[in-house]
Amino acid sequence: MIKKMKNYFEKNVFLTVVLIVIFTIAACLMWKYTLQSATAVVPTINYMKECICMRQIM
Amino acid sequence: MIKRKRGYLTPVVISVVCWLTFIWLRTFTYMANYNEGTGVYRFLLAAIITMIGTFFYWSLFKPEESAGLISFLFGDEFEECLKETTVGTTKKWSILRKSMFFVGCLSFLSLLAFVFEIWTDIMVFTDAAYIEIGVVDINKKYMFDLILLIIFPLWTQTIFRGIREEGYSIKGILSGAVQLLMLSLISYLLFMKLPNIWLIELAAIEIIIVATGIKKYVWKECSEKKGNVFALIGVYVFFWCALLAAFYRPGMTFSQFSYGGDWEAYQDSVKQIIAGAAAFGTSSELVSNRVVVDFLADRNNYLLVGLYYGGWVSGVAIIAALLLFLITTYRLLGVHAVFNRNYLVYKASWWMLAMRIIWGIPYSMGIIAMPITLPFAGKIGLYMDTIAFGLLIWSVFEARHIDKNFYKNRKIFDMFEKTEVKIEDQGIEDFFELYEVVKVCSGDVALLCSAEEDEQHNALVLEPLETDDACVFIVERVADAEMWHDVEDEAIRSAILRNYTKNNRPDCMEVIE
Repeated sequence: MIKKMKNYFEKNVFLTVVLIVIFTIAACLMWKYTLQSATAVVPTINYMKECICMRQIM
Repeated sequence: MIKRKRGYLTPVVISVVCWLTFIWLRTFTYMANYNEGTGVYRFLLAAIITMIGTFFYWSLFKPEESAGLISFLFGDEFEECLKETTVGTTKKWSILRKSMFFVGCLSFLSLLAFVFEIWTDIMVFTDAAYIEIGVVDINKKYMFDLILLIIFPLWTQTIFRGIREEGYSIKGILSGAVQLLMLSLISYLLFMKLPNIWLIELAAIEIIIVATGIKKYVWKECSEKKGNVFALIGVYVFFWCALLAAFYRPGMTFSQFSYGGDWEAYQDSVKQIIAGAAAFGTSSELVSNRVVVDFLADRNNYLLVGLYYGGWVSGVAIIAALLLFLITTYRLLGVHAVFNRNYLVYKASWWMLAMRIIWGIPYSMGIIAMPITLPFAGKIGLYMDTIAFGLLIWSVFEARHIDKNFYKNRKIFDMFEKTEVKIEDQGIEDFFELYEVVKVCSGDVALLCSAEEDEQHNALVLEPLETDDACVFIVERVADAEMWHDVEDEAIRSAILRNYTKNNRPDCMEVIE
């Protein structure tokens, strides 16, 4: 199966290049999206920290 | 029929995914915990560029062919250079003698520098974390991994090759042992001003490299004198213990020696994170804990950050990924790793990553006072660990060539289910290799093979070209016919296969005979 795919991609070089470009763009976007969504909760956590500290001071 | 093997694809894919995961975690840790901001692609780009650079520079490194430093030191150039000077003699210098000359010069210079720094105010290079050359300051931490991963293993294997060249004579072994001690002394003097944990890591990896070198080059040769080998390893371990003991002060505990700072404060903070972490997601108990928040600020430990932000689910997943990375990278060394020419370099790379995991996880959990960062988490570690991982990926390319050299001695009947075959010349001769391409036919079945003649036994060795399984057929012509059949005599078959394997050995392979 892998050998068949390898032969197919070797014969269709343009398709291979297009797929690599699309895959790279998709991977970069996924990298950015996952990091942004993971760090999005950090400001909320920081806000929670500040509120708790304020309550402790009062 | 011949079965096809999956090979190294799965470990390569898994380890690359783990590598990307750790860089992702490193970026997240930096974005979430550091006061200094960073871009989302900063560490990813740095790691990819380092990986490409590693492949590029390592591909240029060919000890026998390149005109690089190693070639100069141990090739003919140095000898030619000596002949032009008064030092030169007409007698040929052995590898061990050349190596001794350079190690001796370097250790003399290092000791001289050390003596100067003890008794005078002159700063050379042993007494600081930086090496100053004019206005340029080079941080020794950048040199540490490169010396440990590349220079020390390469030099060690050169010394062992020299011992082998001298026929394992007492003189050769003594010279090799002294050189290894001097090399270790040089590395110690160079890095002695770094924190003790760096020296412990240096000692551990150098001991492993020397033990691996002994196993590869010496072990088979000393079947009756294994006790002496153990004694030599013992002396080397003792030598390192003595060097490390120079930094021990009376009353010091192990944690004070290896950690340096307040280990109990570290343990206390880690215990609070472990006890307060939620099963899933951020725990409100940890969020309200000022000690933990201050502790995690500007700290690059993605395991603790995972516990803090993602709970135990993230923590366990990160530990599982680290262990998976440890196993898959070991697989990257190859099935016949010991036959690799640069086996010590790849083994050192793996051990360096392995130590980051084996010591890094217990340290992160506050169990062992060995402050070693997790893989790809350190400021310099991101680059150096990527170099080590790049070398392991490179070793896969070489491992594939080496595995191919372990040909299976197959019979014609295994493939064609007949005892005789017809061989047709395809008229394609590869000018770069000494073989011809032929078509082996039997009925409807045809197979493209490379053919190499064994003139001594009047036989032909056929190697199938379109199969992943490395095998050969050893055939001879049927008298007065166009057909070919297997060579029957097993002793002759073995001799032919041995010759064929030797002739087709890849450059990256080294067999200790």
